[in-house]
Amino acid sequence: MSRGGRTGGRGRGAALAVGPLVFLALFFAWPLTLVLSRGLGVDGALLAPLRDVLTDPYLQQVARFTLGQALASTLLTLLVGMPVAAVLSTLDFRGRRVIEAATIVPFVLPTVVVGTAFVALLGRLAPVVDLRQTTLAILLAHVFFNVSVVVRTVGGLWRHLDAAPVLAARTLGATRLRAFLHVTLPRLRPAIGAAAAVVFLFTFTSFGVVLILGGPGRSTLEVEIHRATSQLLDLRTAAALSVLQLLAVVATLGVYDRTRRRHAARPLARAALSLRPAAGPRDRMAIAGMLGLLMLVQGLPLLALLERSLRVGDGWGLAHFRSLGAPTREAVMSVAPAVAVRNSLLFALAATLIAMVVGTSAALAAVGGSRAGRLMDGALMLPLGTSAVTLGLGLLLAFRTGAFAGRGAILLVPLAQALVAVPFVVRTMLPVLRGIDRRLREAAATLGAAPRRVWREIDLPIVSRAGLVAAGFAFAVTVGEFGATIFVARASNPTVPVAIHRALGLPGAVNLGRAMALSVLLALITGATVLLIDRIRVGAVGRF
Amino acid sequence: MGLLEVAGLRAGYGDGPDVLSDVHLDVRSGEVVALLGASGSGKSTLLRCIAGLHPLRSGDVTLDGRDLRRVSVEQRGIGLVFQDHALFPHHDVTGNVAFGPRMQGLDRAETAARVARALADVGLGHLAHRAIDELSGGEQQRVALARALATRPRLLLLDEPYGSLDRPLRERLVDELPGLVRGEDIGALLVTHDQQEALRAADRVAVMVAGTVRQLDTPERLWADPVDAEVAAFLGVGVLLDAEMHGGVASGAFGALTLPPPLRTSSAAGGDGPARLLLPRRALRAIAAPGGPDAAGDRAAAGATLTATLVEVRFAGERHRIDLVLGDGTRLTLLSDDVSGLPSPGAAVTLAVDVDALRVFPPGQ
Amino acid sequence: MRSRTLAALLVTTVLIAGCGDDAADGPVRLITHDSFDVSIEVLEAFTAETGIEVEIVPLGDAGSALNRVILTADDPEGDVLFGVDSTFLTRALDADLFLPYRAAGLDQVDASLLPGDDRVTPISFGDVCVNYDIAWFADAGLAVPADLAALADPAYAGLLAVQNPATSSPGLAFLLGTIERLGEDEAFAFWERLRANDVLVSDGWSEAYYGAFTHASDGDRPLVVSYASSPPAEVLFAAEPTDTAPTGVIVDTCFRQIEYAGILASTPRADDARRLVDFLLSPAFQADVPLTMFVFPVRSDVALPDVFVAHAVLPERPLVMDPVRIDAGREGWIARFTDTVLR
Repeated sequence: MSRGGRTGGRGRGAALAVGPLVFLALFFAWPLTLVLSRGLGVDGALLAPLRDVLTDPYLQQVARFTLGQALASTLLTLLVGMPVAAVLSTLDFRGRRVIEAATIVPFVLPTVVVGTAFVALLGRLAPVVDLRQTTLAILLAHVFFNVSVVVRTVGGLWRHLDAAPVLAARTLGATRLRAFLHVTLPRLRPAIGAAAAVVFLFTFTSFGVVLILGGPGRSTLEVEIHRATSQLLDLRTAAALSVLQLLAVVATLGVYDRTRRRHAARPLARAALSLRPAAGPRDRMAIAGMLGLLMLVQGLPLLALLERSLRVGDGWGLAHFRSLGAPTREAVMSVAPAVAVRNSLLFALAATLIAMVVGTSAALAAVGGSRAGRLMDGALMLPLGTSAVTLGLGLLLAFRTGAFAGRGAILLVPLAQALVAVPFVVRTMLPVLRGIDRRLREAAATLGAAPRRVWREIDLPIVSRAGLVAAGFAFAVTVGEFGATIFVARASNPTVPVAIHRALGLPGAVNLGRAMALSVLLALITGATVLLIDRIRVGAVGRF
Repeated sequence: MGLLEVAGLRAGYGDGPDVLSDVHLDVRSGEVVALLGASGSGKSTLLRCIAGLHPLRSGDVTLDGRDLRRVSVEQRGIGLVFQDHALFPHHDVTGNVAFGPRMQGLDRAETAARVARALADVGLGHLAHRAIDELSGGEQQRVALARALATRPRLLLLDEPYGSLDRPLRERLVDELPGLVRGEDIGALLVTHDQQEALRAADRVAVMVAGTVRQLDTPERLWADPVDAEVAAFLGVGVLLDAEMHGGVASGAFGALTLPPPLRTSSAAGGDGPARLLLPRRALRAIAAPGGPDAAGDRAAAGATLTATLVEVRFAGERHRIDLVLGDGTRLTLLSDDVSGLPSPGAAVTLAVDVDALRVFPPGQ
Repeated sequence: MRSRTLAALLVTTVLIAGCGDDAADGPVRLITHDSFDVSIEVLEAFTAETGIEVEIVPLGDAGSALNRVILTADDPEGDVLFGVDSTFLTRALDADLFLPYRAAGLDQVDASLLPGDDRVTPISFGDVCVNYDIAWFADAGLAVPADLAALADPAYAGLLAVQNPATSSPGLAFLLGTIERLGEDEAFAFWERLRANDVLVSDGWSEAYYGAFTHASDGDRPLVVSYASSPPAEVLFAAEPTDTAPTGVIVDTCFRQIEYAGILASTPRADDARRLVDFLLSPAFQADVPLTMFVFPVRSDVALPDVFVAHAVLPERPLVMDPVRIDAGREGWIARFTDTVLR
């Protein structure tokens, strides 16, 4: 059946795809091509550097470890995230939304800070179980970061599933587990696929966590790219490694696209049918179990961070928070933390705005599920899995003249941040757009709304509120963004992550305390923003 | 002249075969027409064609004499009540009902008046500012109806609007429909697969079979004179038997019946040869056990009769259900006030047949 | 929505296409690493005196900043580069980035700090040394390692945290120090022993110091590669005012890094750039260096702040390596380190 009917949906979709594609070409494809061509152009051949990289036993080991830890992290994140998503999307209880918003907080914390918190935690656990400098420590940190991706993506779909088929399966003699495996799980597959793809991309390009927690012998492709670029100025190797990384990312997206296509465009139930008030000891146990799990993987490291921010000398106090009002020194680069907070908010808002415009256009263009739409959707995911070092260098090469040179470089910060946020906007909006009941549009038409009016009265209000949810995600992603920021920022107006980084660049308890207090502040701001945005909902489709 | 006239309508999906073919239909002002058919018979598609949500391959649709083929959906002046209501989740009750008047460009005061009136008509004035997901199913259905009525449509289309509601509520809402339509002097086309619903609400019933309207008539005429075997079967008027026609007598394994003169001439299978014989339930009466071989005189006195085997008699509230098997193995259920004199199960029963009510159709349907 | 997207694109395109280069008349741009800082009053005094506005352009760590300048040599993002250290000096000189210049005040710089090439001007130096947690060793009743070799002593197993020389500037400096002291082959034999001694390798200074060092974290490493200036910083930034440094420096392990500034050859305003380099070597900036960047000024006629005098260690004979040797050996040594310690 023709989706657009007589409204010319195809033409509109194509026009809407132009914006995102130009954005992607300008701020991703072009810079990346510049770096790669520069690196691979050294001896004119693409294959020679690739072969060198692929035959180097050390890099082989790195590639194996990178892939292995990413797969293991993805699996572990799903294992932890699924039960949490299950409870949060089937049981309603006091504090559910706060917990859901809180799971996203780790997402915005700088790696160094998380590393510090983890080291503190693992140090205390050492007498019981010594996880220091193990691969498991890396995996746990990855779970800590990414569990919210699973909770939000899978949970969003889950609570829109009609509960009836599960009940039917139960009456047909299926145990809870079998009903889940045979009825619920297949219907969740598109969301699980999406979440797994995003987590894989994040962990595949993981950098700081690997070295701070992994100890000797554990390096990822991203570390090697950083090393080749920043230290060795060996663009040939860096480019070859980046190509390798990109190929892996494209392959991942290919697999993801296959799982998604098979389950595409399945309309959501129009009410949050699977969410019911918690009652009885069984529910209470499920909630307690979920909270225990979250406490273990997210709560403990966050508490360790909070504890460090409150530790003053041998006691505890709010001194570090009080010190945030003023810079440590009257120096050019030592901006007051309050200013850094303001900068962060401004950058994040600008990036969110850009990501929203680009992401919304992309989601609208992709909603028809056409081949071109799917390709664009996949292409927009690429920045998530691309080396921040390579991309940063490419942006530098691409924009060192023109509007983004000099003071204009500051414009690059939100643009680079938006690159990372766009996939989240698309992921958040697309299911809502696809889930809009076609008959709502038809009802509006029979009530006298012309096609344009239908778009304005039906699609736009529903999408724009879903868009606010997407904006919250984009905000959270950008407010803590560090990799791209540090690479393209050049003016003396640091964001909070940059300020944390600077504070952690000098010895001294005060510096550490400030960094930790700033991290807690960043976490609070993010949590509050997400919670605020999560409260905006529209009927049955507002929350995804 | 009809308010809505559909003639020779053909429609389908993509490059596929026709889903609707040669559909003829009319709805008069102040009238409720029920569109009755099995699922998959094309009822909803026909409704969408009339509303302008689905393209025609050919045929005419006119409303008040105006050719609708060139009129886009939003300008047709047709109200459509969707299955499952399709209420706007981002508007409350008032927002939903006010949508149409707003689209028509009415000012605030007039819109408010329309909303108030429409909500009052469906008895929901007290829920004006309720959110949609806080309404019960019945309330949602009423909002959907009010929303469609608030545009003052000339024609109201209802697509299985009561499908998801429980029976008492459904019956109440169905009963309210004719009043709403007659009061507004508009026409309504109600899609349903439920005969009871059609009978309760409709002035006329259109029976759809396999993508076309086979018969459009008052319920009485429809039941008395189904146009073909499929319509008869769909309506459940009675049982259809394979018979051999010979000189005005229909015979088969069930027995033999002599048809009255009008049927011999007007029937589609007027000639001799194989045919389908419709035995309407209301033409039958179980009278008693047949007598011995010399009881032929009694049979003649009772008019035409058939012999059947009694399977079971059950009390079904107010009346009794009598389950029988005819001589050719066809099962038949009759309702009767009086079961006295019937033998015990397994015994033979005589059925008195009102031959004027019999119908003969061509074979093979 | 569509028109809005197109409008945004249009604006972007116009911005990219239509913006000219304002390098000739804007502020003088100082490219540096992200540890750079200067007191506001010191910088403002320079601007007031010369009328030259300075824009600071931090481009990542020292290696990244230099590499970015090399990659954009034809059209760099600034006029002066500060922060090339001895480990990367040869690379910078080979790329021929700088104009020759003899800054005012060079005569006040100790001969050991001069590069022997007038394309770069020494501004500051810092010593990378193993720091130790004084309280930890007192509590453990263990003697502080006396020298570099002692770090491989099994008595100190599991106590040392270093940085990966592939990703960290102090990490590379410490590796170079071991090679300078022990000779290449013996140095890697030493690293093998360190590995057997369970050395912890982090990717950066912050990770090692705030992630593993017992004094500054909940980690379990009382020995960490840091700077000779770290103890005064610990005093200055202590949670409560103190007169005693909680950490100390093992002087024998110190490797000296000198930081240089150079005028980028492509600058359209060489005169202003020269005055900026003069400023970097001026007594005012030099005196400011210890407490803003926690390194030492190269000028010998500038007094150190009290906290440095009291708590900083200036090794008399720090390990120094010839930049040419560093440049020749760096890549191979890092690979060998990776082989020996990380594989």
